Amino acid sequence: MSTRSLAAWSASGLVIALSTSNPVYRAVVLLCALNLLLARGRRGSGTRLLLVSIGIAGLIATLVTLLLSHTGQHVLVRLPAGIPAIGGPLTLEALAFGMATGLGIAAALLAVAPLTLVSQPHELVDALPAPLARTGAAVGAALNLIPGTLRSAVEIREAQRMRGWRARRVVDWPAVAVPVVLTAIEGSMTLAEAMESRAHGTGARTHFSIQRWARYDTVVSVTAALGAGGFLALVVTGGAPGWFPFPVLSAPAISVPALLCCALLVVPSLQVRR
Amino acid sequence: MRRILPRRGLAICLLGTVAGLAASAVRVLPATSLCSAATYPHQVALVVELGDGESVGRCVGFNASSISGDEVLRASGLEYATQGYGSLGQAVCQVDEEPAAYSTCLPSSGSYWALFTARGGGAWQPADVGISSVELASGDAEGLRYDPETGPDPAPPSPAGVCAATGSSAPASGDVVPASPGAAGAGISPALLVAAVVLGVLAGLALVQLLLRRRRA
Repeated sequence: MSTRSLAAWSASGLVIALSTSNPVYRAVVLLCALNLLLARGRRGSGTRLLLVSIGIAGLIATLVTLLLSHTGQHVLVRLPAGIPAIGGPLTLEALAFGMATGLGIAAALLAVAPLTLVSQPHELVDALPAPLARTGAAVGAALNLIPGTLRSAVEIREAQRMRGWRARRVVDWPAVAVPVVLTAIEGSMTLAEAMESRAHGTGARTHFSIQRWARYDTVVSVTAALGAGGFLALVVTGGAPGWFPFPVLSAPAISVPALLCCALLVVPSLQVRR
Repeated sequence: MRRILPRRGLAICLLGTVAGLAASAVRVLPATSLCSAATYPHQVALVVELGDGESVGRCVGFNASSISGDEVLRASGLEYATQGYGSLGQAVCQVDEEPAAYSTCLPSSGSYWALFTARGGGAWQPADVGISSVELASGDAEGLRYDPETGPDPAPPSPAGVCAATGSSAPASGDVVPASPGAAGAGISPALLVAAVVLGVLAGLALVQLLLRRRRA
């Protein structure tokens, strides 16, 4: 599957997830993305870790909304009013809205997850238009800095523990932070030299292998664009109403055409992998 | 949380409490009820309770299978003004010159227009979307109450009698169907059924993908 068609699919999923407050449509996007990850995700790409992280993010969104929003008629529990911010009634409506918000976050994150969990990093850079190739490489290197720094921090901490030293107080942290920063700078210099030695920036980017655009990529891209476009049109014209549970919880209104637009995102999961 | 705060005002306007439903049952509409829709195949009752407690009833007829809430208000001939609130639709800011002037459609304090719907002759339910997003079928009713935001928060007076056919007509189905069985009348709405099927199929497919993935490993 071409990375460009995958990017089109991700953009469509993101558009749908962010353009509605209706949890039913968000759930459909989430399930379509989950199907795609399970069907095409690379082994060892960290799918399980991502799912756990998304679950925690959704849980936090639910808890924050439940604790900070005291609107709604169905009171579940009443915290003492003296507690700052969270004191007051905790309502069923706030819980429902928090869950819907968490669902939206999960759906949006899962919609873009295939870009890193299905395709390889070099495929992503290859998929960029030629004028954006340098920008893509720079952004990719910058994005790689954070996980690289974290890995470096873990390695340095473990090395220091092997020598019998352990950071116990805040004042001990510079002993870890300084080597981490120095390692990051050294890594950046190494990367720059490696790119220069490969003549980066002197001409058009060459490819080790060229991704071919198959007929199925056209199907995926067209259905994704149709789904997102149709859904947006329905939202604008009022054909896909949002959902708001305050002050009385009610079931979300469902538009069948909007539901089918969301369900079009399942297409890339239906191809049998040979 | 950030999404809650700007919408809280709209929610207060759109939705009311069900605690006052019993109180509304004992109130009756004054003789201002008007039915000018006898020649139409479908009818929707509109009940507007003004700030001074006076209620106005209108029977709006239409030919299509459904009609939106703002079309009902427009067809009633009553003066009104609305303001858009994104995907939730239009909120009602003014009806029959009440309030005479306003700077904010949904003020943080003071009165506002609360929107209700009654499906198929049922009880009033607070609307969960704006008036432009409310779809009404024949036999349904739309209610607006100028709510002072303090004290009791009853629903508008009963729509019974505003339209002769109210409560006896079979509700028509439109594209947008409330998912709540109670709001849609008896039984499960087709849209809810379709949503359950779609979600079930996708969840089942995910399970199959997971099993295949484990088998490949």
